[in-house]
Amino acid sequence: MTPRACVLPKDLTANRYVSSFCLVAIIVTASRLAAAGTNPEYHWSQSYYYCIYAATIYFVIAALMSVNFFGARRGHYKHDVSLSTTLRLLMLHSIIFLVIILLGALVFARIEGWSYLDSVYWADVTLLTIGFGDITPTTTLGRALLFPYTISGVICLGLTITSIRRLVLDKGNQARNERVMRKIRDDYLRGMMNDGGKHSTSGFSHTLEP
Amino acid sequence: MFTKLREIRSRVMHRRRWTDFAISLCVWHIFLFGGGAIFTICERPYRDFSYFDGLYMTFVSLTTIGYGDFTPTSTSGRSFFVLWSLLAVPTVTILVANAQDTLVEVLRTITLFFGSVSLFPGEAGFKGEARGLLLKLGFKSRGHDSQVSQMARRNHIHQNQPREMPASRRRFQILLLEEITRIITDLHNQMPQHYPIDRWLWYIKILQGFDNITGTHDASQLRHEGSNPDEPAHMSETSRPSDTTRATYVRSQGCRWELSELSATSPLMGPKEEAEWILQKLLETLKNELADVCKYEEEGSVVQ
Repeated sequence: MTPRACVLPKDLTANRYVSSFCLVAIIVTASRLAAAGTNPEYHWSQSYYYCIYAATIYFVIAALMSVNFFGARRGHYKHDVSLSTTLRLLMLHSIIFLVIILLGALVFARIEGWSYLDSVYWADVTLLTIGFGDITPTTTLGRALLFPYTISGVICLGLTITSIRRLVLDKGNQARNERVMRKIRDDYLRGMMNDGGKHSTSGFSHTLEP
Repeated sequence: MFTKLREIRSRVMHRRRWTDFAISLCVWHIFLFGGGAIFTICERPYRDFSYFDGLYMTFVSLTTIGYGDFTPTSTSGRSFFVLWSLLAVPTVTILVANAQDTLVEVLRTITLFFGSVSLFPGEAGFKGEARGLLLKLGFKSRGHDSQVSQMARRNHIHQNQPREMPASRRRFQILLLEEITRIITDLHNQMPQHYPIDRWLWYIKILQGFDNITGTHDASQLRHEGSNPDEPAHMSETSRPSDTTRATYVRSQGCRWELSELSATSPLMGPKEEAEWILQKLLETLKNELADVCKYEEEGSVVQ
């Protein structure tokens, strides 16, 4: 049974907008306070930048949601939109992957004594199999825990990538057929007009009897 | 008309695949050069970091090599790196998927061509292979097209001789099962099968069902009218000359489609592959045949 993804109510959209504005307000206040003395010894922490990214993403999502909401109100979209399995899987896989990154980063930060956001950076680099090597686990416990963590993380990454690929291929098939139809009709009409009626028109029929 | 439809479809799909590949390649380059620029901006206040260094670091990360000689050390760099890498990895995935449809096919053809020249000689000889390679790369020549298609058609004719219609209902059902087996083997090949026109006509004929073929219903529903000069003259015996190529299939329930119809239910244009479509219709026909047999047995008539 696929769940119905109904159009989100206005409150959620409003929530998103409010949260994005709050984040922006925090950033502006912080920069105002610190702008007085641009001390070269201090720099913005990573959280500051993450705040900026989060605010941007929330704002974009809120905009898209409001477009969705007003579009559904006007009747542009169908009313019952069911999530296909591919889409559901993709959402779940990406959420699981992010949870693995964030929770694993927390654990390793406690073990190795890194700051949390440095640990997130390390987890990201490790799980995407990039592996810079600037931050590495040095304690025995950390290195031992690396094995199961990386295995599960890389498997989740693989699942996410497979879901993305399947989604892209599925959408590609649908779009392909619509475009093929249009292209063929246009080509055929153009060919007929160029030939000046050499081919009879009875092959070009839309009659469908159920 | 049949061949023209095939041609149009293959041309459209070819162009569409290359467009997709080009788009994802563009997006990949945006990630590469844009990411490099942003990393330069982030790192420059802290150390000597030129744009080329940023580009190098971005490239090494994007291809997941990850040397580690250049890493983002500033806070802005690190946070941007996490965000950017989570976006860039799916892009690389999609690029690889699109490349598999287009670039890999081209490279495979080129590899086979070189193999045929040096190690494994093919049937058509050097010139034939070269022309085949150019055809695949998109440089079509009119005169060669018909020659290749005629050769392909001759091969198909030798492989799949349309057989005689069976005399009894049971033999017809056995024939249906044989055709289903053949289609399933084709489906296992995993390459999209394009059947030539004579095989399509054979399938249309047997899809009508035993009653229609033996004439208990209106048998004149099957029409093949061929006018293209390159259609060989060995068409089925029910052909009648007329001005367009059209093959119609009518069952007693009245579902009807045309082979060269430009709509989604026609097997050439629909979302299903041709083999899948034929398989589905064959199975339906077999089911209807067996249902008829059951009906006869219940009514007490003799099964022929």
